[in-house]
Amino acid sequence: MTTSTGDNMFTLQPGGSVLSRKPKLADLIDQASFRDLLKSFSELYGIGVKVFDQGGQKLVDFRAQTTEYCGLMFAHYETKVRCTKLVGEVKSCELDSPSPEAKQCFSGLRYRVGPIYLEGDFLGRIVYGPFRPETLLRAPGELQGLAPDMKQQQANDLLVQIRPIAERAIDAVVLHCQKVVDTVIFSGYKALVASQMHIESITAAYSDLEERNRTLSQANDKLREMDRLKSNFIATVSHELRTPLTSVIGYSEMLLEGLAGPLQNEQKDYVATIMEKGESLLQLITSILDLSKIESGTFKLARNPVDISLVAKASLTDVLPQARKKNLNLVSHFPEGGQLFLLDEEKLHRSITNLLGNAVKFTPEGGTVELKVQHFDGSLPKESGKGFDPFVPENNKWLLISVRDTGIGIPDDKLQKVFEPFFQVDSSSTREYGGTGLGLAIVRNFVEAHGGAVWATSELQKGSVFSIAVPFSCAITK
Amino acid sequence: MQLNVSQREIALKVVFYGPPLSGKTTNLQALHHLLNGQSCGRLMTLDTADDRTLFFDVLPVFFKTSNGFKIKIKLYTVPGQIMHASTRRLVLEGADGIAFIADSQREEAKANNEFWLSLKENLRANKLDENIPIVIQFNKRDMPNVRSDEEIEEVRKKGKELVYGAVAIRGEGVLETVEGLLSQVWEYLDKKHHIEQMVKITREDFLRRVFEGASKPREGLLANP
Ligand SMILES: Nc1nc2c(ncn2[C@@H]2O[C@H](COP(=O)(O)OP(=O)(O)OP(=O)(O)O)[C@@H](O)[C@H]2O)c(=O)[nH]1
Ligand SMILES: [Mg+2]
Repeated sequence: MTTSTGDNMFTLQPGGSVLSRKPKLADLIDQASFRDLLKSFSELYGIGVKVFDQGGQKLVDFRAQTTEYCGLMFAHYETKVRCTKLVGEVKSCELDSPSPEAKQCFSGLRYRVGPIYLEGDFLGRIVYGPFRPETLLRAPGELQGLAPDMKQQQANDLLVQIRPIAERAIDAVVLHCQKVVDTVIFSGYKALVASQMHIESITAAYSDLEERNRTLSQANDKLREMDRLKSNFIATVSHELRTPLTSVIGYSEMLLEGLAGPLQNEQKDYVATIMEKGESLLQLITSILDLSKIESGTFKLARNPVDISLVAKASLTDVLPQARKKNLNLVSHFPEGGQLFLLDEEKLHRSITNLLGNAVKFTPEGGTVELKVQHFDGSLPKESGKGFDPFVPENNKWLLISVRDTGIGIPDDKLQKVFEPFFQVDSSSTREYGGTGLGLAIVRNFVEAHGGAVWATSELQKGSVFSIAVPFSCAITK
Repeated sequence: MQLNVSQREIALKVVFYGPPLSGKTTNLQALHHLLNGQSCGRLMTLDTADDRTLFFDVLPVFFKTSNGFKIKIKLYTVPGQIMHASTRRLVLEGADGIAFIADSQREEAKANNEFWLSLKENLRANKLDENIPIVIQFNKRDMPNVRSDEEIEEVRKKGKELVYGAVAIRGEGVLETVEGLLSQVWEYLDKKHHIEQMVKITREDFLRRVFEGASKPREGLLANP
């Protein structure tokens, strides 16, 4: 319940809905057009029209014909007093019924006062007149008593200049005008309510959505936290697995080297297999550990001044034995001058080795693997996901490392996915080439942590190019 | 309820709530035709070109008591379309009583149920008293494949709400629904705010004033003349 003691229900809740507010007359009409409407009415019927709102404020005032006659009344003291009193009465009398009320002036003229209602609430009044009733042929004799020095003849002369109106006619005219105004007011109210409701509905819908967003984002935070805990857990477990596994590998190695006495050939084969499988298990666990560190956000870059060419050369050395085994042609290009960059050397090294390792793995006997390190200034291919920055030129300079192979290639629809954890181009490739499917995901994370990008382009049966771009802004300027 | 002591005015708010196309607007239109033009104002409809309620419809009913207290009842409908959920909540704000207009057709059972639940939810959201008077109307009794009279009798017996059957297009059951609701609303507000003492009329007088001069339901009630 809302209770109010003031004269308006809605002053108490200014922010409340339009539904709980009582409008004022001025809110419901366009004042200029409303005035035009009543002016044409006043001119058509030759009677004055005034409109007052609920508080007695005058909104419309048109006079007609009676000005001079009324002026005469106003020129004498007693009649002036009476006139003022009647005008006040017409302006503020209680209007209980919806039908217009008649008011008689001492001058013989008359008024009609019609209330304006909306939903039974009083909004204001229309005062019609004063007009000269048809039956009024001369100024009333009592005027003489009120203003002895008023000239009877002059009063009569002024009166007959006013066009007389039959009571029946004025009733019809007033009724018509009341109806027109009522329609105008209702239309105005409807427009006001519709537009207000529009705003209120949109505001309400907006806060509903905001509320929903808040719940969603809370749920999201929770999920993220759980994900982080999971990654933490995996990191711990992987770490715990690594320790015994290194022992398994270490002891196998010692066995193989005959430290515990000579082995027969078959025994050697078995132990070698144990060692080999142990190694790949260790690699898998290391990858999982890396990835979970990335996911749990516990990995950090250790940036140091690095000559990228040296890092790339070290990576080449890493893959040299396998490349030799497959009789591959290893080609490399490096930029001039030993520009230093602030990078995480170990992570960059592992990233490049990974790309080279893949290239070697997927290139058939006798093929070529080409490593190219260059300074690049311009817009990267769209596969990189790095747009061209038209406003900050420095953002378009990169340190670009690409690895080209002459392998089997990757279908277009898989090019993006190869960077997702555990993805394999097809399940047969795992069997044929081995690998965990984690390497490229790790590379991507390492590179992105540097603010860079990694992407692949490929042509089936011809080969692929994997590229790493690191912002040139990492360069150390002397 | 809005009460203005110095102006001796009291305004009650009644809301017609219910699933899409159950006949909420039709109820209000029928009421507008049936009630006496003296106490019943213009029906305002804010709808779309295809006659679906956009914001609400509202019908004001008002009269003055013999000792000069003005009593106004504003009857609103909510829009039934799913997308207008926030508007429904807005219109419900500050309601003193609710007529739940259900669609009797069997295939509408689920929609009725969903809107019944959403009503309860909105009442909570608007912090309205859970004991606010609610009556249920099963509309469209004239349609084929509707829930049987026996089934509705079941609902009437088991639930705590008053239950009415109606054919709103003919005006049947409309006055009964509103009368049942207003009677409860009066009782409820009297218990809460002692309005009888304030306004100095009895519930019977209140209802008589609202419904005096009302006409009878008839075929083609809402057809254009
Ligand atoms: N046969 C039959 N049809 C009805 C009855 N009541 C309403 N209708 C029809 O049902 C349709 C929808 O009626 P409305 O009153 O617009 O429904 P509403 O609940 O206001 O709809 P929304 O405002 O869009 O939620 C119209 O075509 C009505 O003529 C009834 O008692 N019997
Ligand atoms: Mg409707």
